[in-house]
Amino acid sequence: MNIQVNGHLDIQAVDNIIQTFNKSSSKSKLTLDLRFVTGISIECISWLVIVLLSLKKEKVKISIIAPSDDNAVLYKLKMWRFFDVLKEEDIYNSIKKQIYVHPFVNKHWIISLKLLKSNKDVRSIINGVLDDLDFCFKNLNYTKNDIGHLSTVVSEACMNVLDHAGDDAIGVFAAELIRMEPKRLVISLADDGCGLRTSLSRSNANATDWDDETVIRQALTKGVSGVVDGDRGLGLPAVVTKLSQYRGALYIRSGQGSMRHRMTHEGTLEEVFSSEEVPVPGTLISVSLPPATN
Amino acid sequence: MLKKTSLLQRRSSLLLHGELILADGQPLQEGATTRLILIGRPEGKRFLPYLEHRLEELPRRSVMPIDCQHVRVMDISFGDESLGRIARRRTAKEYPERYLVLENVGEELEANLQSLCEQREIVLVVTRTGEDLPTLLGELSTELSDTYNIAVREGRLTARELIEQIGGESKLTIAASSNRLTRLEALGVVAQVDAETIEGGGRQKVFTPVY
Repeated sequence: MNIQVNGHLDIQAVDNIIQTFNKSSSKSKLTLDLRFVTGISIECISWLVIVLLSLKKEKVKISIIAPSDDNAVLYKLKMWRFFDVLKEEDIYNSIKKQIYVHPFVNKHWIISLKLLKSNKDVRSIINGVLDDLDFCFKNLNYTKNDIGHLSTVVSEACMNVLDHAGDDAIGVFAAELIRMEPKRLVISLADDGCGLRTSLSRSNANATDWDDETVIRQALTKGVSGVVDGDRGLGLPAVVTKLSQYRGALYIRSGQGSMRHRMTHEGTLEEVFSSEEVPVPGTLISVSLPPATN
Repeated sequence: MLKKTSLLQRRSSLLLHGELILADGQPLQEGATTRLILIGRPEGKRFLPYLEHRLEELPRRSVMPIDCQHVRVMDISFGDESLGRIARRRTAKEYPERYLVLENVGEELEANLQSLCEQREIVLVVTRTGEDLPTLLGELSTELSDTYNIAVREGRLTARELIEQIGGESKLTIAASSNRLTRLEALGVVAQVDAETIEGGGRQKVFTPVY
């Protein structure tokens, strides 16, 4: 099955890839042609890797036709170490030898994708956030104290994947400083786990009857958890609390829907739920942090 | 602000480092000696019995500083399962007259601990890296915070002394003054060390800051 992607590769485009593939009669191989991709977002890259890794788990052979050498998308993919993460051998058009690519790409600062399978990976990600992203935080006028608070956001989001997604789940962490206006740091975390509903149903029998919006709202509520233990349920709610303090935004997608959660400059909380046809289980969380206000 | 010594007995510090062997025979964080990243509930649960044991071993009226110079990050989940549980049990009057403070807390770690205190509505006593004066983390009213600072400055404090320190204009009654000190004691940030006779009859409790 050969799927060509044209234009901007976003989350819906990734969903379309998997939906098209699922409808095809041949499910042993997927060739993804990225030569005509003109742009790719950070939320999308972590979701794309998760989707491709889930296919690999199902023994689907994946080939990527990479964009040409002069294409900015290829530089971004290389900065993310996209090809290394997928560990594919038969990547057409990709440059075999490692070349140095400056982390600035079109005014963006990108760090490589990181797979998340264990506590060790979370430590590596947090160290990366504190070291590799130090430049990004300073660029957004965050103090060390702010960075400490935001490392909590990253840690809780990552541990949430390990705690709730299931034993065989894989997470993908991505981060990027967008230096064009509106300037912001975007962190994205996707996993191929069981999703929020299944996780919450471990300790809430009613969760199986909740609609997708309620599932996401409950997952963001303090004290509601997927683990049977009275003192749980701080992870994602703590993320929301911290993001609200920094006027950040949260996008969370699980089940057949997504929620955009944002604190406005006027201090009002905006929550918008959208129903979406999501072809694979798992969860995608994206955090966007604006420059410090003081 | 100058600080007078606490009347509690200060025990030797517990230095957190990766090779610290916990109650389960495993190190606190394998492969790390410094820049510890303490994360997740399972790891916090592993640390709790060790911390409890050290706390139970303390003689009464003593404080054990936990030296955090090597801790880079402690997330809310880890802190909740260890320090958070101890703080909540203290409210239930466990570990009487035995106290913990966190020393050499870096800016990033302080932010982590502040998040824990906000989420769990607890209060922790910490000293920042390179500082001697203690700081209270957590949400505390100005009155309680001021009372603690007076206790730190004086080294000891009774309800009457608190009224004198604040000044007569505050119209703080003995009952309200005692109440402030009792609330700080319940939070584990001051300790009652004595009860002394008052001139003219009666007795009053003497409190000291835990650090």
